[in-house]
Amino acid sequence: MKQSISVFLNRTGDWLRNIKCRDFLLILLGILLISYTITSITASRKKAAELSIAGQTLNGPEITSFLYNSEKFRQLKYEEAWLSSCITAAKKNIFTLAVDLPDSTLSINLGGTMLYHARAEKISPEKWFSSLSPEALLSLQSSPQILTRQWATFKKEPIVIKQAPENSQEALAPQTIPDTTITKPLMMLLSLDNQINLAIIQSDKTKGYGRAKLSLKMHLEGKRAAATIRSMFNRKNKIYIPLITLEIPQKNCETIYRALPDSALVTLRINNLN
Amino acid sequence: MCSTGSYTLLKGRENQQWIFKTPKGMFRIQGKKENPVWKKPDWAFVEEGLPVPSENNPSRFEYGVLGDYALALGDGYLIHGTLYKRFLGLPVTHGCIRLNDEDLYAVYCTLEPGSKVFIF
Repeated sequence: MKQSISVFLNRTGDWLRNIKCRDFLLILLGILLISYTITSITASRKKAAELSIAGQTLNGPEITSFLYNSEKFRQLKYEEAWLSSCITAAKKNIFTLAVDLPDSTLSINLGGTMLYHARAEKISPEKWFSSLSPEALLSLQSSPQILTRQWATFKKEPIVIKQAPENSQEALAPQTIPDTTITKPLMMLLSLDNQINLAIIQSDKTKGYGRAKLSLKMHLEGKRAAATIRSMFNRKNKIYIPLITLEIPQKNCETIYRALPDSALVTLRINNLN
Repeated sequence: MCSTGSYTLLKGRENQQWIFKTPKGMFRIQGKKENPVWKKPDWAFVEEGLPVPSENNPSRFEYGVLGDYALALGDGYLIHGTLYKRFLGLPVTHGCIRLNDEDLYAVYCTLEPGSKVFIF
């Protein structure tokens, strides 16, 4: 036994001494991939658990037991949470994006007034949402979230810079009207402050659709990879950020993205995903 | 159908700049006027390459360019008429909202000071 261990150690030592740069990089990549997988799994479970605890704290133990025992009560509580979130958002007088997944609708609201309405043709939430407990679902939709970051394949405000003319003669030169026509497929990624991402993409398969979707996917994966590396260096647990993808017509996509200001509110209704 | 801000950033001398966009959000009608007179702000002269006159210089006042009615939204933004009907539906203004004569009359008759206006 001792002999076999010492042989193993000697061979390992020889191998380590003879290791090449290429092998070292492969080992490092392997370690990173394994840690990425492990941290992703643990992070998603941790997030679900945190939401459950938040939901239990919000509602109390009595309500929590009713949530599991009565389907009707559960649905009523979900409805209450959603409406409460909408009312809170309406009071703040800020543009709100209301995402109603059971009804497949998105709407822009301000002060309780619906300004714009769009129907989602396809909704694809990550499987993680199906695994959430009722308390976690309640916690997720009981208050509006702030839109912290917006990314899209097209410009929100197509600003044209114009230098003031030196004199009136120069000012007579032909004026150009800014071209706000959008030619690229419309895809956007909205990040909420409760660490949920909403990907709103056009359902119309226009020219360049595949390329735009790849661009969105690469942006998303890039963010996830950066978050993993950051968490490894900071020795902090990775935060899991689930994604909900909604497909809406191109025209609706454009209006919604251009209407949303920087710190818009988002209310989310996600019950009945199980 | 209306015309709204052109999203043009005008850069003048000495680091002056103006952005011509229609603000978004909820507003209230601050006041209404018939046969409004446009008091040209500084950017209107800078944009044309003209020297900026004093505050109450007669050259600042233009008659008829705002149409028959104007409704004030605050901060200098107005809903008003236009001589340039062919540009309705395009982003060409300096931030104000331009309507054709018919729509403007309807809005003028319907809204009162304090009425909400949602722009998005």
